Amino acid sequence: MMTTAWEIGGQKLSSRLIVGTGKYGDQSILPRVMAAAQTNAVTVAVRRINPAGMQEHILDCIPKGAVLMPNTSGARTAEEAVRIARLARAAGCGDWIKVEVIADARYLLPDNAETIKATEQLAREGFQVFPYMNPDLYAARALVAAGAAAVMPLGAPIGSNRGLQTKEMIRILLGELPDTPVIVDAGIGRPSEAAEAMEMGAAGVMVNTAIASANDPVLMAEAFARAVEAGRLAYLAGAGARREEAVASSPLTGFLSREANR
Amino acid sequence: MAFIVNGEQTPLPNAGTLAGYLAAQGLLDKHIVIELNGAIRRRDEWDSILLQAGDALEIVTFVGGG
Repeated sequence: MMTTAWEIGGQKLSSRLIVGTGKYGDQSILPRVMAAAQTNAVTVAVRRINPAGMQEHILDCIPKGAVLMPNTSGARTAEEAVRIARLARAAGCGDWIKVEVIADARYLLPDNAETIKATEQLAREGFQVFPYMNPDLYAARALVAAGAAAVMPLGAPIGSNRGLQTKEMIRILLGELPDTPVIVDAGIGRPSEAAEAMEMGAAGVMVNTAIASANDPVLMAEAFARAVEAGRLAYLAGAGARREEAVASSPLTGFLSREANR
Repeated sequence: MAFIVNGEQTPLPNAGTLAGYLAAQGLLDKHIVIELNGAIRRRDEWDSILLQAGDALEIVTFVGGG
């Protein structure tokens, strides 16, 4: 069973898995990765053209009809992010922008204050803004007030495959911002971690490195598609309460080796 | 006479238009976005823009990324 389509940023998506297109030595595998991921939202970056380095253009490797989420990677300030976002929109592939403002080279952590500034400006200019953020409740509230279409808290540093290290902070965002889609971005390294984020109530997850760095990216993309789906279904199903002690699943009456049932 | 393309000093074509320069580079039909001296210039403007010495041209495109 497929969970139903959902709407975000003015678009209808059938999948809650957003897939990144970076870190592929050979981009010709991307169509098969995208097909296996069953995704219709993908991220790309904006860079100076390198005519010598263009075999196939990234847009030729992405399914037609996919929603493009360009990012502002490379931006160190709000101003730079706004500039990159405007260039991305001028390409004519929609008005989504994943705002990434990163000044820290070691952990690639997002600068929430600059991210809020960029989000304010870009939302004012009519962009659908998806800010990559450090999961801080006050920053998330400010991003929502600034007009963000969603917030994208990190689970762990970009590309680290370390999973939901920020789980408790993400749980707080989910609880306190019930009307804001929370898309867990960065750090998810295993399908089980994507499923866990979805079980918690995340609206979606964004995955790049975990798929790109797998031995078999196509198979891993399918694994993530199923995990995201499973996690979403589990969230909708509503998990039972956790208990400290055992609660038998089988009847506690009618045992063969004891006295007759009363 | 030179202008700057993606941060590199580049000889300025004589009386060249932006469209002419991009065509000579084989970029005219590519998926590119142009920023000239800090302002984004739409494709339908490229024919009428004359490149000047000292212009700063950025030619960008989408690449794989997360």
